[in-house]
Amino acid sequence: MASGSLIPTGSLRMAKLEDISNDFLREEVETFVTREDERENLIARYTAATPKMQAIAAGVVSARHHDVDAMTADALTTGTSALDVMDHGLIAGMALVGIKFRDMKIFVPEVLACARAMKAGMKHIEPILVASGIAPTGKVIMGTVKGDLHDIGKNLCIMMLRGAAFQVIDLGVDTSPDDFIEAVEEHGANIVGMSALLTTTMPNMAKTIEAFIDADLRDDVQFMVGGAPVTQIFADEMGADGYGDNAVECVDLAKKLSDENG
Amino acid sequence: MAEQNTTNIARQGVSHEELCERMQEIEHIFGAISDSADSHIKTTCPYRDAAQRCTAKFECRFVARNGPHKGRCGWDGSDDYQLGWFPPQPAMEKRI
Ligand code: B12
Ligand code: SF4
Repeated sequence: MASGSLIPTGSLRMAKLEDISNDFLREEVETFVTREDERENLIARYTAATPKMQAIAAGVVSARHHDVDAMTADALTTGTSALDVMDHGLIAGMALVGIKFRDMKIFVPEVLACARAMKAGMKHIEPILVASGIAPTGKVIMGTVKGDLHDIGKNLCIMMLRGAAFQVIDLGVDTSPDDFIEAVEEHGANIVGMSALLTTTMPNMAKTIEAFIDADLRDDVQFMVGGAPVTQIFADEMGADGYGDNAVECVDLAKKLSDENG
Repeated sequence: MAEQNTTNIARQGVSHEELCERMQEIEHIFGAISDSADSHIKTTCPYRDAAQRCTAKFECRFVARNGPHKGRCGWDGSDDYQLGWFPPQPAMEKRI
């Protein structure tokens, strides 16, 4: 996937770089987008966007989540369509972020910050997705289990899940079984994702599932597990409902479990 | 706000299919980002930002603690960056 274009080719009209009115976006495209097909697509996208939408895209690219939050809310309440906000604002911005990251112009910390900005905008689109019967596909509680402080992989999974319109409640690291239970009860989530990177903390996944059984809540939730030392066999043994090897699999799995939940 | 948005959308008549397409597009972008992340972390510390600052919340041995470059990543790329994340291994002789 990494070698393919990050922007699907569509029926976007031809336009020139100079036509992008937002100075920041124009400079970003000029400086960072070298692939001809991607450059053409982004130029077409940005020139088709109103200054307001370009500002949202620029906000995502520069990771200004408060601004994206406010600008998206304002655009939607003043009559801009959700499709326009996504096409010419949020998605248009994130597409450029993906390109810069692939080409190593920005790194993991910046991408996480940009994803946070996009999330701030998507928050306002969620009710629309719900109204149209799409999302949130489900509510997911994610946490690294008790005794374990590794969270890079978990955070990548969360970023992906949010990108796929899941509502994610992040419990962070060192999450006790009680914390998971409390979160499920508080948020009414139906999927719990647990991450563990240490062989010594992997058993805490099983302990968490046991705690849900003891609390008579096991039937209310589905567990997905992951992390470098975790395997499908281990997941089966502990009675988890699914195992994912990476962030993409995590999303596929969450979708599958969510469908099973009805 | 949520209610207002929903009413707005109902008025705009955005179709389910159109929204699905957008969600697929978002997934495509994030999928590519995840792929890039998997490959980048083999050669670059995931805590190092574009300005070479360290964003880790733990104390990496490579981070500059004082001076004008305080907070900057001092990993030079020669060894594995993860060596900075753990305390130095005790020398073998000492253990015997
Ligand atoms: C980064 C790191 C740290 C950092 C963590 C910082 C942080 N904020 O995460 C720090 C320095 C704090 C650290 C500390 C320790 N670490 Co450490 N650490 C690592 C390291 C180098 C990378 C882990 C990582 O981030 N990988 C990258 C991410 C992207 O991959 P990932 O987590 O596997 O996640 C992917 C998938 O697994 C999956 N996934 C993850 N979670 C989930 C969840 C679900 C539901 C799904 C579906 C999928 C999924 O998707 C993710 C994205 O693709 C590993 C070595 C390694 N190469 O794995 C050691 C490693 C995990 N650490 C190890 C050890 C021993 C420790 C310490 C005990 C060291 C010490 N002596 O103090 C402490 C323990 C602290 C604690 N209590 O947790 C050992 C574990 C050995 C073992 N078999 O148990 C390892 C393997 C290093 C080694 N070779 O010895 N560590
Ligand atoms: S100082 Fe250490 S943890 Fe921080 S960015 Fe550099 S190598 Fe990574």
